[in-house]
Amino acid sequence: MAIADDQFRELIETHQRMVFSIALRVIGDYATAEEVAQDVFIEFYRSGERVVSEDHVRYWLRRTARHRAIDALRRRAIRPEASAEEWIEEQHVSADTSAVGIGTEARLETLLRTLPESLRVAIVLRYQEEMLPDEIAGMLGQSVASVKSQLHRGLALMRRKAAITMKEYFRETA
Amino acid sequence: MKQPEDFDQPDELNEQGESFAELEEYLTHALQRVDAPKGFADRAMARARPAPARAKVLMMPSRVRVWVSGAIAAALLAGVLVGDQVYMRRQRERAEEAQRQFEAGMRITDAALEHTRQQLRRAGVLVGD
Repeated sequence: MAIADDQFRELIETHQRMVFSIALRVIGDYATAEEVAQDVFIEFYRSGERVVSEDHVRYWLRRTARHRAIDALRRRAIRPEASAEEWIEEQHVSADTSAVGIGTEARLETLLRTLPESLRVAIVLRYQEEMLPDEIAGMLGQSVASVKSQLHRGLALMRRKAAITMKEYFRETA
Repeated sequence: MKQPEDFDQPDELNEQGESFAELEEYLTHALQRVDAPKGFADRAMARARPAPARAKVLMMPSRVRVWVSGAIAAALLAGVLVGDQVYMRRQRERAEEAQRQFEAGMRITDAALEHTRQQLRRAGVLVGD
């Protein structure tokens, strides 16, 4: 093993919020997110990956968390975004996203889960992990232009939905 | 680290003249990292450690388990069949021995009767026929 037990525990405690949050926001299911997040750390432990630097560890964990979360989505056929593409053209409202009494943040998380997988990942990495578009592009193996396009489409889609379901918070500026 | 202006410039993300500043602000607050479930590190550590040695004995591959079970069942069946055959052979041997003893007894009895009959005939006594 490239990492000792006590070092591994410290690594988990340092990064568990990051890994769990990525998994949770991509998958949208608490229990599955915990399972996936644990898988990520175990994969790190068993892979013999060396702790070269904090940046290296963070990069490895983020990239693996994103991969495993998407694997879990596909394995369990969870598709919260199934009808999300229709919003781009049609702008109709889904009843369960217009519930009243939930906080703005919870509503935004609900809207996030309705985004297509690629847009959701880009939004999570950008706004949760505060990564720059070129950092996201490097991690996803895509061009910066492609990442910016995904961010733009994701934000546009979210705002369009929010303009209808959260009128009290957002105004739609054309 | 985050610099909203990086992708909020009019010539990049806002080709349609849209401004995402308000939504970005909300998202930044909404998408804060959340705490992992309580005991997460302990559970991950427990899963990462290899299983104890005695557990390995139980972790026999399923193919091997099938073969071992089959071999034990076959050995038991063969034992029952062989035991049954031995028992049947002994019973047959006993019956044959009893038959031989009975036939020998009959021959001795016939000879004794014939001897007696001849002695009586010599004495002038006619018995039977």
